[in-house]
Amino acid sequence: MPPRDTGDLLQGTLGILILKALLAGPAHGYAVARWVEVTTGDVLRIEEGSLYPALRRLEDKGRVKSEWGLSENNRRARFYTLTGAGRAHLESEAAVWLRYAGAVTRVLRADPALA
Amino acid sequence: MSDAPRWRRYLRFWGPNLDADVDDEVQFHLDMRAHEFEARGMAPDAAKRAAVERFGDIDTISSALRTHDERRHRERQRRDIVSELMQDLRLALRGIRRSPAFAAVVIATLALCIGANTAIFSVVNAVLLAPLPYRDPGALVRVYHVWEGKKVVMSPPNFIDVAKQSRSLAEAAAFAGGSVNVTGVGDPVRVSGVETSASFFHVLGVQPALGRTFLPDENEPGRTKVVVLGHAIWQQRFGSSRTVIGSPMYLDGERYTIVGVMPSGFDMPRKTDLWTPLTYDVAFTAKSRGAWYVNGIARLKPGVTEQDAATEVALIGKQLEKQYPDDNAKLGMSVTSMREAMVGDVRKPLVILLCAVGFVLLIACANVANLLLARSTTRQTEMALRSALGAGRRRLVRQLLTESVLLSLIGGGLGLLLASWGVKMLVALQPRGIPRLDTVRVDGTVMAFTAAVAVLTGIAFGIAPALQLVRRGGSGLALSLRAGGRGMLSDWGGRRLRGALIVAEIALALVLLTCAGLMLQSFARLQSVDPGFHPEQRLAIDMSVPRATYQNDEKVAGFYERLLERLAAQPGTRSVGAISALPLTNFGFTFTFSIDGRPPVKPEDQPSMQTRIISADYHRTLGIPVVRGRTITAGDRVGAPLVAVINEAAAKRFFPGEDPIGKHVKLGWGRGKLNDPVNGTIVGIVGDVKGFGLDQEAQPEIDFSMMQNPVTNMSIVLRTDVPPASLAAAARREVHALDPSLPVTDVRTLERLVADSVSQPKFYMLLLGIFAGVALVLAAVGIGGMMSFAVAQRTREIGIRVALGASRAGVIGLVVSEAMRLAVAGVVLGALAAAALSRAMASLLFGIGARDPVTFVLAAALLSAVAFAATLLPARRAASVDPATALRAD
Repeated sequence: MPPRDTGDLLQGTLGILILKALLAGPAHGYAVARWVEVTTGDVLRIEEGSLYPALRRLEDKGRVKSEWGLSENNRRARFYTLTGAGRAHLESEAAVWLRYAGAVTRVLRADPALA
Repeated sequence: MSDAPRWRRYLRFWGPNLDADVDDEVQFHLDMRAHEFEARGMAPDAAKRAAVERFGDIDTISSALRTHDERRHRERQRRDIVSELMQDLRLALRGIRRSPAFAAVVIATLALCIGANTAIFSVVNAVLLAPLPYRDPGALVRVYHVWEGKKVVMSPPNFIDVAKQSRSLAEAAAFAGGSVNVTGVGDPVRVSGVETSASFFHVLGVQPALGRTFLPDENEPGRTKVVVLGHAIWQQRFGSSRTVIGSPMYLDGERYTIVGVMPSGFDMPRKTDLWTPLTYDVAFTAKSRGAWYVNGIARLKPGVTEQDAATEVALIGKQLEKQYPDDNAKLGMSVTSMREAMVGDVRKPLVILLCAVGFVLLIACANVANLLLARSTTRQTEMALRSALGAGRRRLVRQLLTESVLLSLIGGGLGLLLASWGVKMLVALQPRGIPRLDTVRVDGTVMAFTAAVAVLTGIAFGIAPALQLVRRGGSGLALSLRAGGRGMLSDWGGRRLRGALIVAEIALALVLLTCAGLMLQSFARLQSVDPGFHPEQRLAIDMSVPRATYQNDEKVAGFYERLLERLAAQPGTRSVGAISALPLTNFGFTFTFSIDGRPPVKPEDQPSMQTRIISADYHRTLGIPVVRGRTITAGDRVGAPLVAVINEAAAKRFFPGEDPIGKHVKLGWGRGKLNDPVNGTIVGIVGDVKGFGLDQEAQPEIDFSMMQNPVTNMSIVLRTDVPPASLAAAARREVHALDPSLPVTDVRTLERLVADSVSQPKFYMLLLGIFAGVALVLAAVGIGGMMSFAVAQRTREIGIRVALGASRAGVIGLVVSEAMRLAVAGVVLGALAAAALSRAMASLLFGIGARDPVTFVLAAALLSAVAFAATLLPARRAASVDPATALRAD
C-alpha cells in the first residue's frame, strides 16, 4: 500500500488540488498541473515527481479513473476522470480545508494586527 | 526519455504494455510543457531542455510509476481469475443441482473408485514410500552372508571382521532375534526379545524415551544383565510407570535390570517387545565362525553409495574365505539398503495392486465421460446460448471443466471417508509378511494424493466432453438454437468418441480380469498343494522352558515327557506329539552332517539338511506317513541306541540307489562347546513335509529323538476328536499344573497355520478379484448405458426400419451387433495388453504361466458374455419401438 495521504497536510492538499482540477471534466496530467499553476497565478506549483504518483494513488482509492484518449493536439494521452467517490471525497475535504483555512485566517487577522 | 525506443509501444498489439504506457504519459507531459515554453518565446531546443529540467528525475519517477502499474495489473488479474472461478463454481453448483440423479451416479462411482485408490495408496505410502523411522534412513544398510545365491544371517566373527575392515561402513551393529519368557509381572508371557550389540541404537539414530540404551561393555559376558523395554510392553505390563528404570524383570527365569524404554513406534527389527545385549563369548565365537545367527546392520559413511559398500564388503568376504577356508568356503558377503531388505519383496505386488486400482479408476472415468457425452445433447443449447452471449471457447471449456472437477472433488471427499474405512479392513485382513502394515493410515500425504487424483480425474473425464460440446456449440450454434435443443444434429463425432471410450474401458477391464484370473488360479493351485500333513482337528502350542530353571537336558526332557503324557490323557485328545519347529513356519535349523563309512569331504562340499527334534508319536499325530522302517518311539531315550529318521527328500538326495536305514549320521552341531555332536542311526523314512511355504519344495530333513537330544523350545501338537480350539484352556491348565511360571503362547489350529502361510497371496488375490469385479460391473454399465442412449436417440430411425418391414430379430441384431463390434475390439486390445502386462506378475504366480491360454480365453469369454447381456435390454427396447408412435413423435 502506498502511504496514506491524509494526515500529511501537503500530500492531502495535493490530492484535493488534483480532484478540484478534474471537477470541470476529464484531463491529462499536464492539464491538471497547468490548471493549478494558472489558477493560483503560479503561486502553487505541482512537482511532476509528485503529480503522477498522486494520480495513481487516487486511482487505487477509486477517486479517479483513467483511460487513454486523444488530446486537443491529436496525441495519445492518458485522461483522468473524477469518479462519484472522488467528488464526495473532494466535497468533504474541501469543507474541512475551508473551515480550517478560515479559522487560521481569522486568527492571523485578529488584533493585534501584523505589521 | 525522448530517446526511449519508439518501437516498444508497438508491443501493445500483444496486450497491454505497461512500460510503454508510462513512457508515453511522461513524454506527452514533456512535449506539452516544451510547447508551453515555446509559446512563451523560447527556442525549441531550449524549450525541450527546460521541460526536462522542470520535470525532475525522469528515470526515477518513471520507474516508480512502472512498479506501481505492474503491481496494480497483477492484482487486477488475480481478482479477475478469482471472480471467474467463483462464477464457474456457481454455475457448476447450479448445473449439479439441476440434474441431481446424474450427479449422484457420477459422485457415487467416483467416490468408490477414488476411495479404493486412496486405500491402496495409503498402504503403498506406509509400506513402500514413508521413510524408515530412523536418523538418515537412506544411509542404513543390512549386511549379509551370501550362501547359494541367497542372503542369510551371519556368524559373529565374520560380522565383526567385516565391520572392522570396511572403509565404507561408518558404524555397524549386530542383532539376533528370538523370544523370551517374561515372568514376575502379571501372567507369564512369551514376548519377542532381540539381542543387540550396544551400538544398535546408535547406528539407527534413535534415543530412548526414558533411561538409557546399552553401554559398550554390556556386550561382554558376565556383566549385570540389563534390558531396554519397547513402548507397548512398558504400557501394558508396567502401566507406563516412569519409575520403572532400575527395577528388576525376569526373562527366561533370569534377573534383568530395566535401564531404558524406547519411544512408541520403535520396534526394530519387527514387532520387538524388548532388547537385551548380545553377549559375545570371545572364546566361543572364535570357534563359531561357521555358526550363522546374527543380523548385521550398518550406516554408510557420507558420500558412500550402497553399490560401493556392496563391492567392498564382497571383497572382504573373498579375503575371509581365503583366510578361513574351513568355515567360509563358498560363503559370500553383501550389503543391501535397509529399505530394500525390508520392503523389497512386497514392492512388486503392491505396485501391481496400485496399477490395478488405477485401471478401475480409468474405467470409471470412461464411464463418466460417456455419461457426460450423452448429456451433451441436452446441454448443447445452453452452450450455444452462452457462446452467443459472448463467452469465449476457452471460457466455456473452463466452466465445463470446473463442473467436472467439482463433481470429482466431491467424489474424492466421500472417497476419503470410504478409504479410511477400507484401510481398516485391509489391515484387518492381516496378510503375513507385509512390513509396517500397522502404520497404514490416511494422513496428509494420502489426502494430498487423493486431492491430486480427484482433480486429475475431473479433468480426465471432463476434457473430451467439454471440447466436444464447445466445438459443436460454436459451429452448430444457429442450428442448435433453431432445433430447440432436441439434438437433431447428426452426432457422428460424439458417437465415435463414445465408441472409443467403450473399447478402452473394455480393454482395461479385460486386463484386470485376466490378471485376477491368473491370481485366482495360482491361489487355487497353491491351496491344493499337499503340505505333507493333515492340518484338520489339530491344535498347536508353542512352549519354551528357561535354562535358568531347567539347567540340564534331563530336566528339559522330563518336563516335556510329563506334559505330553498329561495332554494325551485329556478327554477329546486322540494323540499328542512335539517338534522343535513346526512346518510352514519358515523356521528351522540347517546343519552340515557326515555319514559314517563315507570318505571325508572338503568342508565346502559338506552336505547339510534341515534338522528337527521330535517326540514319539509326532508323525502319527500330524498324519505324516512312515514310508519305510519306523519313526521315533518312546523307547528311543537315553541309554538306548541313538536314532534318527529322515524324510524322502533326504533319502533321495543323499542316499541315491542305496538303503539309508542302518546308516549312521553325525551332525556338525552339538551341545556344549562344539563337542559331542548330535548323531544317530537312521531307523526309518517318513513322508516329505513343506517347511517353508506351500509353494516351496520340501527340503531334506532329519529328525532326532526328543528324549535323546532335548531342546528348550518345542511346539506341541494335539490331534483331537473335539473342535481343537476347545482344548486350548485345558492345555494351558496342564502346563501351569507342571510349572505356573511358563507362558503358553501362540495357541492356534494347524488349519490356521496353513491359512496364515498363504495369507499374503490370498490378500493380493482378494483385492485383485474385487477390482476385477468392479471393473466388470463398470464395463457392463458402460456398454449397456451407451446402447440405451443410442437406441433412445435413434428411435425414429428404428421406427422407419420397422415400418419398412424390419423384423424384431433384425432390430435386436442391429443393436447387439453394433455393441459387440465395440466389445470385440476392446477384448482384442485388452488381450494384447494383458499379454504384455501379465509378465510383470509372473513371479507372483504359482503353478500357472503368466500367459496361460485358458485364463485368457475364459476372461475374454466372461467379459464378452457380460457385455452381450448388458446390451440385451436396450436391444429389446429397440425391438419394441412402435413405428407409428416413433414417426409421429417428431
